[in-house]
Amino acid sequence: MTGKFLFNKKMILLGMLPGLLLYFCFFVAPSIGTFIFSFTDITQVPGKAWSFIGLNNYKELIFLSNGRDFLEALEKTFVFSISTTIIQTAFSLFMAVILCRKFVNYRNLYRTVIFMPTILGVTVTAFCFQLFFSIDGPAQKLLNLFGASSGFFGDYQWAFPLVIFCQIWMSAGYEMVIFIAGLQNIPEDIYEASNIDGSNEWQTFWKITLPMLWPTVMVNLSLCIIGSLSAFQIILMTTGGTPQTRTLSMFVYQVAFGMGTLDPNAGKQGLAAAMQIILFTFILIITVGSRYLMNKVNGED
Amino acid sequence: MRGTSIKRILAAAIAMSLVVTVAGCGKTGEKATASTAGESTAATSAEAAAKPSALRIITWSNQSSVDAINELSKKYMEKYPNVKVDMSVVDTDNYPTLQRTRLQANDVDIVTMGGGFVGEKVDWAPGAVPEWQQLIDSGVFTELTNQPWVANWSTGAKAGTYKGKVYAISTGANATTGIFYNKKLFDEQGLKLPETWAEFEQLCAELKARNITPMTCGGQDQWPYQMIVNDVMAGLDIDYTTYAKGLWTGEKKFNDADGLKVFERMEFINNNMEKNFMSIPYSAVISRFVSGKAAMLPDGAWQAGEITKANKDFQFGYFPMPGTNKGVNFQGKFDLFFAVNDKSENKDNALNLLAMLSDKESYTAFVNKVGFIPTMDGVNITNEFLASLLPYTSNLKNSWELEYRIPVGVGQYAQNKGFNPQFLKSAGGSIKTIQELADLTQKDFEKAAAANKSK
Amino acid sequence: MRKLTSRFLVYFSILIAMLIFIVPLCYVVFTAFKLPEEFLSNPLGLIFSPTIENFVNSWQKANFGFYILNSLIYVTAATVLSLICSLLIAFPIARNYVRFSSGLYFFMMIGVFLPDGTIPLFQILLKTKLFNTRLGYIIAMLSIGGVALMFFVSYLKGIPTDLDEAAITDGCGYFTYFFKIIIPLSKPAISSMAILTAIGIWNDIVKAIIFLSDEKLFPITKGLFVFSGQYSTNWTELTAGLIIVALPLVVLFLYLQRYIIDGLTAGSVKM
Repeated sequence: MTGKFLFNKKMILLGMLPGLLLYFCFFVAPSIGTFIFSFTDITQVPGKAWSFIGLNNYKELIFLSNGRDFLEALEKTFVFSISTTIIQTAFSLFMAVILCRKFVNYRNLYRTVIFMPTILGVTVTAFCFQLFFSIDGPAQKLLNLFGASSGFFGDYQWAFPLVIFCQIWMSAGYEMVIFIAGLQNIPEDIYEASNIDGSNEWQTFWKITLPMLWPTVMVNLSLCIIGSLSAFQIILMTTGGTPQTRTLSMFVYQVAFGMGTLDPNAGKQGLAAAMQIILFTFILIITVGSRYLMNKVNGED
Repeated sequence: MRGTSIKRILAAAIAMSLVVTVAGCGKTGEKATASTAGESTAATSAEAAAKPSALRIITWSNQSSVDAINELSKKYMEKYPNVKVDMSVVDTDNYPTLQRTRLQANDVDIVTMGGGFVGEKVDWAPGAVPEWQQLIDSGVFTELTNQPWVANWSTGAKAGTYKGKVYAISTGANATTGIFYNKKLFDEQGLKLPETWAEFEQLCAELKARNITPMTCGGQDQWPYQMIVNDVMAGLDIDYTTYAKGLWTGEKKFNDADGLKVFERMEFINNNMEKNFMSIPYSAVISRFVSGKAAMLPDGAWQAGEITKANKDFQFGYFPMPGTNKGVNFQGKFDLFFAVNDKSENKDNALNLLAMLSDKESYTAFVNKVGFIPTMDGVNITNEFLASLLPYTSNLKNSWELEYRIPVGVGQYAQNKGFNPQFLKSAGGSIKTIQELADLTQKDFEKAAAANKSK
Repeated sequence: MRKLTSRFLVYFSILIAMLIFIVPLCYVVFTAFKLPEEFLSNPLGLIFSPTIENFVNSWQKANFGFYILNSLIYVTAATVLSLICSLLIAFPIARNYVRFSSGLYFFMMIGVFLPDGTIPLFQILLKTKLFNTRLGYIIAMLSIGGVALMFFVSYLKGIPTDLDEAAITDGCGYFTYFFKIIIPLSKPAISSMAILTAIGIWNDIVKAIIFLSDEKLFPITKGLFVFSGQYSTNWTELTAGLIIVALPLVVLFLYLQRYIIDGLTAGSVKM
């Protein structure tokens, strides 16, 4: 490219303007707003005066009475995120590799089926699971065959793993498709060279496929971590945010937009904003930390 | 203080932008010049020739209330043809959100509310200011004290009074501490309605012996189950104010003799519920009851309409949950409050609707449709179910949940109505004994109450 | 021998995966064709008399025609706006036509990592009177930057610069060049991002609950809640409704499948 600007610079900037404006006003500014709100006691009550209360929200979350509930939500968030990310990435990578094998007929059909939840969306998926796991539903009857029964989404122990399952069910397809795209970009010659050497499939995968796929894996892991740390729609739609399944992002929504008029925390958007900032801090640490780790691993390869 | 000056600058900026916006839009600020209470004749008066206006009502999805309000709206629109009544209905879980967002956007004229002005902030329970109080103090609701029709109401206006002024009208009271029972099944089995707790225990044991599940409940939604705590408290002869205050002052505890009694009875209820009842959604509970999966259903009286809807021929009754001694009456709450958004541009329309409702004839039709206990004297009850309740509803008291003052920021064990037996193992939770849960509850409460007091 | 076991493993895994992903959906489809009474008495019965009355009732009760129109408006407006804005930003970044291109790129990407701004966005829409309006909801549904931008940048880098130079030499204006040449060339990337964005907007429910309270403005996902009443859930009609909501997207996806995969492949080269 020649050093000079070729097109009319003003036009280029004009083209970028709407996007930049919209992005700033409706993404960046609100984000900063959340940060600011976390230092206030703003509520959803219309017309109520609000003021800056400094670190009181944070103090309440960490030290005061419902701090224990907050910490439980934080713990759940980590478990949720780590389980989802690891299981989902492993599963989608595995399926991607399998469904790229030439000998498998109807590959596209299988891929489409696994990708279907992404197309269906949260609402449809949630209702589908509510039906499937309802108290007289097929899942219950299946368990009954083995002499067991469960409360599923209302069950104290099993609601949480169930919700993790639902989350993975919903997003594995998307991740798999990205892996497939990445796999198809690996040139054939590399495989031919290794076959001559007589290595089996497992070695092929580890020594050639995975390193070539590493950038894709990194992107997917990041997306997955961030997504699972902030995702709560499926939890909201299946359990409504019971304490057993209350991850931090679910908690934020409950506090910010209120569920139940007698809940003392309902509508306290300042408190919700503080929770969100804490959540964000963890997302930041985890994302940056994992990137650093992954880069290190990649570098050593 | 630096915080205040930042706040002032922000407030000024927002105020300026608001002024600009309001000045820019010409629409707001015109009041609908509808007539005063009950006097306009549609065809001739100048007001009727006024431009079309709206009357926006929001309510939650209880079928009988929705039907009753719809009929009232129809009558209203006949009388005021230039007003279009627009009602938004959402399910109970999302109603608080709808309420808040519509009020905040000034996009509503009449707000209906489920609970009244109870739980007012008192000096022995610092820090807990209920939302309705915040709303009134911010001037969101119109004061109705001097409206000519307020005197028509006996208990309805009183229930909506705060600091001596009326801000909302309760159009019906609801019994919440009762149990629906399957009449046919009881007759077939030759069972009698229990009048004391001991008899109730016997009844459940009998049912179990005959392989009939005693009770069911919509546990997954949490609140239908937690409501049963009210039932148990009603039967224990405890003075609510003393207890609620005592919790704060330390004289009463969740793990003292009375508190443990509550947990004990709730544990009994847990053990006599359907299996995995905490995963039954509230929306499934009526069909389960009606199809005979359980003999009884502890729930609020408002379900009567829904039960009939599910099965017209199903025979059922409703009796108060028994207590230690005989003669426990229903307790409940005043319900279906109508309040007016003071900032709305259709305020007069809203007041006219309330005036119309305050007329005894309209109200009689209304309350019989809704099936709530009337809050106006001398109303003729034609609703069969309602009539069956009347013997037990003399002097309807507020149930426990309306007296309990929740400390701000309290942990989950002492939330809701204070007693949360869903954490017990018998309900599918993780806590094995009543004592353990009671101690945890007390700890949570003490921690929060102390924090509240020191603010 | 080894090859045989690995083949078996492959087919077995596929079988399990298919079971997991198809069975719940099958149950939904079965239920939608059952008569309500039959469903209530025997929810799991495989033998039943099929009926389409659920679909008819569902369509009328939930006012689906109306809600579909709303959803179409939202999806089209928000998708087109988001993609064009992203493209107009991606191109200069990919070509390095503006100073601080990499800084700008970073700035646009940071949105993915920032704390969620729904609460302040809610307040902003209130103050600008855009709350509970179509425009307000569309704004809330925009997604500029993020994955789409990343995709476009890497894809656009693959378009040779000679084309740009040729255009300049011919005296072609920036916007003319952009819309007449670049956009058609980017069809694979655009279509895959368009589908993904559209799916996200069509299936949104949480933002619809928060930002819309007027029934006339509801998108199709909210239409489903008519059946999940507080006091009873009509499963047969609800499942019929689910199928109605999901069908357009499924059909669209099946039709455009090829483009999506191709687009994702092309775009992920430089990822």
